[in-house]
Amino acid sequence: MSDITRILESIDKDEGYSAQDLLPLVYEELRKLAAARMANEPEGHTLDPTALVHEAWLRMVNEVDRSWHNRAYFFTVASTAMRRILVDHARRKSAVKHGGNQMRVNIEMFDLAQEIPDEKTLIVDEALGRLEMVHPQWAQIMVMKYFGGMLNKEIAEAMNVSERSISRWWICAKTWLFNDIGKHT
Amino acid sequence: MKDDDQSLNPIDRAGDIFCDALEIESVEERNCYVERMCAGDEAMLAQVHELLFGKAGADKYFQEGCPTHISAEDCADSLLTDPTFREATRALLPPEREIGQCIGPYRLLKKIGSGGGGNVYLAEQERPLHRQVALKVLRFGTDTQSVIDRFEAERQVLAMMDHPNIANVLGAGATEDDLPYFIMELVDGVKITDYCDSYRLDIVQRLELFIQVCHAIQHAHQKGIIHRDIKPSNILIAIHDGIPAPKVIDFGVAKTIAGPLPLDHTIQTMCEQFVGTPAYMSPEQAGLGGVDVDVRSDIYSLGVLLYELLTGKQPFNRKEMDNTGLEEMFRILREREPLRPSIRLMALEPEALSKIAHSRRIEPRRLNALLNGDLDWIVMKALEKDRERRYQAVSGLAEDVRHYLNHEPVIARPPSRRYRFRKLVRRNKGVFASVSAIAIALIAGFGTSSWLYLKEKELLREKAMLLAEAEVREKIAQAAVLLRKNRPEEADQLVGTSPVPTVKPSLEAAEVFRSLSLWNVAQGRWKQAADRSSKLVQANKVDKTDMSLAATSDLLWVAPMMVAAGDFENYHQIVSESLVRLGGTKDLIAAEQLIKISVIIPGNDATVQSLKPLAEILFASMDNPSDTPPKDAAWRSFALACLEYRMGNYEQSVAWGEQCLSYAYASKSKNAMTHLVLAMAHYQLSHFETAHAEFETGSRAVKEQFPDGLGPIRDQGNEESGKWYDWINAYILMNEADELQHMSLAL
Repeated sequence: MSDITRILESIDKDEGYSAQDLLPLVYEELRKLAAARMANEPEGHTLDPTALVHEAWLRMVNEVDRSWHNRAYFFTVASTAMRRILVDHARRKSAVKHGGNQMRVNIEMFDLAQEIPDEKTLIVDEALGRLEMVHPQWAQIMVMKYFGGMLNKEIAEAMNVSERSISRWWICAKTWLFNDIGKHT
Repeated sequence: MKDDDQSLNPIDRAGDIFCDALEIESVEERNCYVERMCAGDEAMLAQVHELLFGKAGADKYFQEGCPTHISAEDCADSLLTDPTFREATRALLPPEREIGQCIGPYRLLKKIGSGGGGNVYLAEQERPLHRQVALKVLRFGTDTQSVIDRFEAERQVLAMMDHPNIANVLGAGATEDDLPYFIMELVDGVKITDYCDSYRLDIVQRLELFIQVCHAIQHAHQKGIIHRDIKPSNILIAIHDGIPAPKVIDFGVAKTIAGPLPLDHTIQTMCEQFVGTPAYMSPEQAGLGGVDVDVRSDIYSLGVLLYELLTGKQPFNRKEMDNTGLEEMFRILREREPLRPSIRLMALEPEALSKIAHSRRIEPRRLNALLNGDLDWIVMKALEKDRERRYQAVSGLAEDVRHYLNHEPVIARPPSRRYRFRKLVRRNKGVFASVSAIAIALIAGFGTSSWLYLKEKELLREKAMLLAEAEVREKIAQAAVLLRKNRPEEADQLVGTSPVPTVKPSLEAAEVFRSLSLWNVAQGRWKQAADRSSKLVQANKVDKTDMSLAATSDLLWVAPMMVAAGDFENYHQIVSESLVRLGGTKDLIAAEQLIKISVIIPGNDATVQSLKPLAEILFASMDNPSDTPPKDAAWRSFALACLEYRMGNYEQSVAWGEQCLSYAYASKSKNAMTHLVLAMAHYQLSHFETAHAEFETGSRAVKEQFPDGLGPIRDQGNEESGKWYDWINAYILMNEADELQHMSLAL
């Protein structure tokens, strides 16, 4: 049995492991995947985060262990990992942009209502931080859907609530965030 | 989901009202519903309205999901530089233990390292004696008790090690949270590779250190202990009185963790998965894990170490190994041939190469030239996939490095082209073999518990056997050196008396026993020669699938020599083993020789029967004599004459014998043998006069060759004068014919 399955199962049986124990394994796998891509793809090729997480899942958990349940746990953790990666990346990129040694991006060239992607990621992340204080569950769903590309069904499984609840909470979460972003920009 | 539970917190309640309201299409009705639900709670009402207002914008804003696509470089970069990630991966290592905390009788003083599947602490023991030790806590301790049990089983053996370059493992136990830990002699030193680079040791200095490491490992092997996990982080260089000396740590730990049980490989695998690459693992370890590992696995790991000390690189691209799955990694270890060290350097970027050369105090070009040749072949011999082709004892490897340093010829040689080709062909077969081995392991798993019990009992016996084998291997390596120094007598004394079953098939052993056997022949010590040659036959079982000429070439002289020595039992055994192994050959020369060695003296019916298929292909080949060189045709006729004689077909025997003599190929020994066979066939047919004449011709030649009977063989002979072993064959035939003559005279 793989390590990851072991942890997944013990989360399931409530044996003292938590999703937190899984995070480093997922990180490590994502790193390996990214590095493998680096070797095989032309420079500048971009990765689809959702696909990346999905591939990590396929690689880390062998076929026998791929129960729906485990998958949900895994994706939960992977979403968190992906959020950190993407936000970190966006932060460094926009720091470079505003740092002056790079070509300055003329903001007015863009439709103002639509931020450039990296900034949007940072903005959503910030707002998400505020939502976590107000309603952690909604924030969790946001992370899973937005950063992890999870389906409602998977989220429902992971959070052990009905799928209908997830779709309702998702509407709440995104609307709350949208309003919050409006207030802070 | 609709509910009126007032105990929900306000934001949940606002969310519920909001979601329900969205299902109401009419704006008026919706507003009515919201106001009714909020029931005068102004804050709630405002919140719900705000949500309803933002809904359309939110849908649009989040429509496309996360917009950031990340490049692979950035993704890997983020992960490596991100403190959260580093924090997270740290959690993979054992939980940090507080300094000052006690584990068993040991108080932790300081963390001195991590990795290797665990953390290592400097610890202090108060009683029974005050000392400082290294304490290693393993991370993966699912099976703590069995780890400790196995350690206890190993303990006595480990205690036998006493070598200045080996750090002893002093004990094992379980922490309070049930993780296994080991107590080791404290070594204040740095990893060998780091040491060499930071002090910029040149190649000679590195080789000197390496030889010391070999001696330490060799000491352990002599005690029957295999390290199984040799890698730079297990070899520390400590400065003692100003002199750097290697210390090998973690001896026996790998076995204790992995255990003797082939199915219990998970722990080790898990460790390796996160500790780094199993670059130092031998191909046989990279399969079914821990099964059938012997000293030669350590020799492989030493080869990897030497590779890295010389080139600064591991045999297989580290980056590639890191980024591939375990299965793929294992496949590479089992199947891919590493580049020779000098070639590996050539493949590097000039910048990387000059850095490596700099830390070896040499110019890049010269480093390359230095490795090219002997050092390449020493490393490659240690890294052979097939352990039977590696050095058979660590001392052999160390000696060869020493030869290099002394500017003497080394044993390691580039592989022959023929061998390389065969290896290529055979590589794929290994895959099938390992698959079926897995199947066996799985089936064996069903009866695990009873099997485990037996396994435990077997352990002791296995250990004794291992010890004996290691000892013999060691002696053989020494003998090889003595032989090269032209001291055969000492070599013979050293290994001559090793019992046959302890001789494991290997090229080196074969070489040694071949030389010793021939040396004894030259001394006229027939008994000893026969004895050494039976070990040669055992050592020759390296390549069980080779059905060609090479496989019979030793038998050609071993067989008659055994008969001459009177060792009929071994002779018959060798003949029947050879027939089982080679009886299916389609190689005409092999077939001819096989027949020849099998009928030197009368055999049993079974032997004669199993020679028939071989005789048939010879027979068929004789249909068209013009295609066959006279020499081959003559030997084939001779083989058929002998075989027909043994089968009682005397007329055919005579016919083949006459045919044999008719070819334009004059080998004195062959002619003598043929005359003697003809003599016997004629006696059987009661042609006494002809028989007598043939006997006279044959025996005269033999007596010329051996005027004083069988004595020391000084002359190996050649095609024309006759090979020495054919003369022995003739001598044997002469005696048989002589007896027959007396018998017929008596009649």
